Amino acid sequence: MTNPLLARFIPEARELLQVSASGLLKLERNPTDETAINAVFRAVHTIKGSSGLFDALALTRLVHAAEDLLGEVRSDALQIDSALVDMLLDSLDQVGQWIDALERRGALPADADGVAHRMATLLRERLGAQDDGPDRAPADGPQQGADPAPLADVATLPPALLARLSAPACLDAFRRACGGEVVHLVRYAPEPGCFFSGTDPLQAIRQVPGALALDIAAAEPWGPLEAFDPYQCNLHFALLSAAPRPEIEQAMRYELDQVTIAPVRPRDLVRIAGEASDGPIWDDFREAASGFLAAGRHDELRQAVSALRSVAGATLWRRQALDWLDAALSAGEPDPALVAALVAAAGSGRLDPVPAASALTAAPAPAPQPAPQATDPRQDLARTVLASQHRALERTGYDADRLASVGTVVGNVLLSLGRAADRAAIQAAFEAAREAQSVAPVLSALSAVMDGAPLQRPETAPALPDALPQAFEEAAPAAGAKEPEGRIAPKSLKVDQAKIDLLMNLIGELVVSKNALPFLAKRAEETYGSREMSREIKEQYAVIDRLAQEMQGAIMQVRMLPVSEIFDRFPRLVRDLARKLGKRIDLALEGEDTAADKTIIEALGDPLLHIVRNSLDHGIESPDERRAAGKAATARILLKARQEADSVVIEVQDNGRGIDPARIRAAAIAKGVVAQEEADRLSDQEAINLIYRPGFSTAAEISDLSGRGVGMDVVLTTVEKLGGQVSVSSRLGEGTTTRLALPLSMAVTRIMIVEAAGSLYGVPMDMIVETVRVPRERIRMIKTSETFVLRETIIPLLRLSRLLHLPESPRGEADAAVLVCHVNGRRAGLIIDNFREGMDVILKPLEGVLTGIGGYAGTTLLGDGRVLLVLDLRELL
Amino acid sequence: MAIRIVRKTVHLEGHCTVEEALPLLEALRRPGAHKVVLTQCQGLHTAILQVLAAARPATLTPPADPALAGLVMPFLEASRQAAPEAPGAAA
Amino acid sequence: MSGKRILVVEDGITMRMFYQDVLGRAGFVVEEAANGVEGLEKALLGGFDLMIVDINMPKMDGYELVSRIRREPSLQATPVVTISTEAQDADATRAYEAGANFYIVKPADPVLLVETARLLTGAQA
Repeated sequence: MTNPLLARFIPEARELLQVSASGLLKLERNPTDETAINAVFRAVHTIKGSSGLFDALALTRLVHAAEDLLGEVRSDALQIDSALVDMLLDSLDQVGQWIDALERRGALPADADGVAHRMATLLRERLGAQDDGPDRAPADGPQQGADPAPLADVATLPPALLARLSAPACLDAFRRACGGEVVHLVRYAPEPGCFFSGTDPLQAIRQVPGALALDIAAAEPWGPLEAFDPYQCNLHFALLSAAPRPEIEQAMRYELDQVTIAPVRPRDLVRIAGEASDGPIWDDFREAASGFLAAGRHDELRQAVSALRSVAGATLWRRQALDWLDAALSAGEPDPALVAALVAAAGSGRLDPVPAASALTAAPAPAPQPAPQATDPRQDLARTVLASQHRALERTGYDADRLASVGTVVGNVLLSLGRAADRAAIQAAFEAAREAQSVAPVLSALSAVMDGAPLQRPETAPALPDALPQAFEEAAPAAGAKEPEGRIAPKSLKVDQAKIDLLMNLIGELVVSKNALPFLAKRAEETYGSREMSREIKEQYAVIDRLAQEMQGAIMQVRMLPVSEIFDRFPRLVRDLARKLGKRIDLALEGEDTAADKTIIEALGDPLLHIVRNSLDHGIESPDERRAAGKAATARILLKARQEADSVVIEVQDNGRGIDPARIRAAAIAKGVVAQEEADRLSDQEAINLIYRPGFSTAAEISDLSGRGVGMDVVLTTVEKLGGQVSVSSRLGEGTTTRLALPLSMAVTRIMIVEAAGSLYGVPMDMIVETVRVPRERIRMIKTSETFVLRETIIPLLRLSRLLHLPESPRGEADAAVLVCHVNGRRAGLIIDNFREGMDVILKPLEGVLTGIGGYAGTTLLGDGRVLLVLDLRELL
Repeated sequence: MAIRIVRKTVHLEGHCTVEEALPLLEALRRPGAHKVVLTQCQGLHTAILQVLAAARPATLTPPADPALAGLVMPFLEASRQAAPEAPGAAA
Repeated sequence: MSGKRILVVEDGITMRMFYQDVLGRAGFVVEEAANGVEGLEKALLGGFDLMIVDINMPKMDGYELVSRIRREPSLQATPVVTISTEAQDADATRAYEAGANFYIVKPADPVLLVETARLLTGAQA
């Protein structure tokens, strides 16, 4: 994707689609939720506005239809219901797919126009249905409405319409069409309710460029005035335009589904009216002209036409036929069938249908000639700007507050055009206006500038302005000379994640460097004997330590995302799944603002999805079953997030049937997850925990919802990888609560440094329960394992050096240093050589050849530059 | 307000917006032969246009702006000719 | 390089980038605000030759923003262009009544946009 604007649009559109979808679901539950409808409307409106920047008319059109519908909902003209929400969600999904297509290929799929038309029509039918307009109800057949699909190759003008158009305009259009220009017929049947969505059809059709003739007609006959509703649009429009189709589409881009555009054949434009006449001259003409025509002598035919036109009365029907013939002959290569028909018409006094011999050749496709540029567009624009000021002043009257900006604008326009003299005159008028407290002097000066001297722009424009008197207070900007680099930073930034990661690494290194200071203090005291220096270093260390921590906190804040990032996906998901399963579920979200590190939030999506799907699949009963159990037919799922100390806790609660420990036991035994006797020993809670064992979920329970044969054990694995915990509690018949606790941030790990086999290792602090020194004699051998008793609990002992396959350094000490750890749900004592200090470190994953080595969580740099290996006790023990 | 009513004469001036359709309709619903003056009118909303078409005022003075007049007058004249008598104009 | 400073007040990210791109390339210094409130705050910091204001925005819409600007003595002389997807007279009228100096229908043609900005800031082509 090369277009940076499109690259920006795609994520914005996706975000807005997400906002719209979740807002719609809120609306479905609470149709009067004003915040929700406003949010949805604005999101859709923004997509519409931005999509107009790209070659994606179909998308714009569909979004516009959705916006109109939402506008009706917002103004309470339309009641939102599930069917409407479905339609809108489908449309948004379609838009989402098109966004994907735009991302992949930079263009919409080939069928987009048709799809947009179909979906927009469906949406608009809802609008129409609300209006009960008789003209919206197609009389015969579903596709037989007022507007046929806008794909017709050629338009035919109904005679009634043709008769209403002015004859000179038709003749002009005819002349252009004969000359090879493509003349389009634009038919526009606005929605009856369009005024409510802010559409002014007359204004819209006026925007179409190249207009040759406009017809306005009542769609339905005007009834009695007493019953007339002025807010239901009852007008249809038809326009002949010489502009190319894309320009017309561009002008009518928001109304395209109510518009048909098709080229008109010249013959269909022929409209002759006048008095009948007779006489020999006509017969003579007919004879001569037929001869010229047959011989292909167009020049002589032209002369004959011209001669007769100069003598025949202008009001005669036959004379008018000559005008049309003249126009047809003015083409470089006149259409012989058309010319023949017109010769016959002038000769006979009536127009027979033009034979379709040269069907479809009437609108050949030479590149449409651009309208001649009569005026400099810049001058036109300047005139428009000045006229706008004139109009605005006229409307509002004298208002000193207003006058100032009008003064700037008028002054700047003239400055830009290099019209010093006018500028001075206008300035005088503004002064007069202020004195007289009236806009009259300015209005007349503006009129004079606009009407009197044509706006002229000297060729030497750039040289002039410097010499101009600074008549108006120019907002001479302080930063006027600055290049765009000098911009004030916007309040919110979108930052590449890699940059944040770099900052995070840098602060990590700062933390590490800072950790060198205590070593330095120690050396100052021990090696150089300067206790004072040592103290000063420690004081400085305290300051740097605090700053580094604050900085780290600040950077971590940048990485924090609210859980709403993932919660927001669920309303739609739950709604769709519930419908599919025939269950009724009310999903509630709580604590969406709770924030956690981006990595955590992103990794949380899948496990959470799994838990919710599991709940929908197995936990929630069907409405009938619920009623039978004396519960409300609609079940409830609550997704709740909150912060607890350094953790973010997410709970998924449902009030479904709960987990039956007996069934779990039976299933676990049947699946060979546990043996009978183990199952019997388990408490109910332990039995429930079996659902997290690998292999528990099996094909028997895999629906297409609950997921691709992945068990709940995946949830456990994912969460534990993130340093979190999962627990589930359930009451039979009342519901299940699954609780995920995850660290707020993964960035900093608190470790304790330990010595083993002469080296230093780090152990994550959250694994350590306590450190004890155990006298040798209290270490007992049970079978082949060493153990010791800590407060009446037997703790198995393991030697770290052995686990790491390192030589053991025999120690004659009386006590063993033991790190009591909590790993994989049980306690173990790790015999090490010595405890050292604790510290905060930034863990870096093992890289290169080390990646494959198990047992290590990563590495970190020590203050003295050494690399410290941090152990992963889960794997080691 | 772009609508100014002097007895049976309605002046539409400047840009007439959709909000002015209802007051205009109410004025034209009153019994009697109405006169609508568009001379100072610079633009009008579709809603205004169709009220004028539906109500068929007895007299209609075209806008001074030739572009606007060309746009709306053929339609308004045609509507008036369709039923030259304003409904209920007897009083 | 005109160096004229334009404040674009617009809630759509893509639209902001569009203005930044089109006007920036034409030599304007473009600053952005994402809603009416932010727009007013930035405008009050001063130094803008032109403001381009979207109509449909959260927090404070374009009409409201324009009328607030016109009530600020330091901003009264600053030209304001309003921009909206709605091509209706009524919207334009409302914008002019609020105190706008010009009304453009979105999506604006880049050439028209640049020319308008030049005219309203007194910049040369």
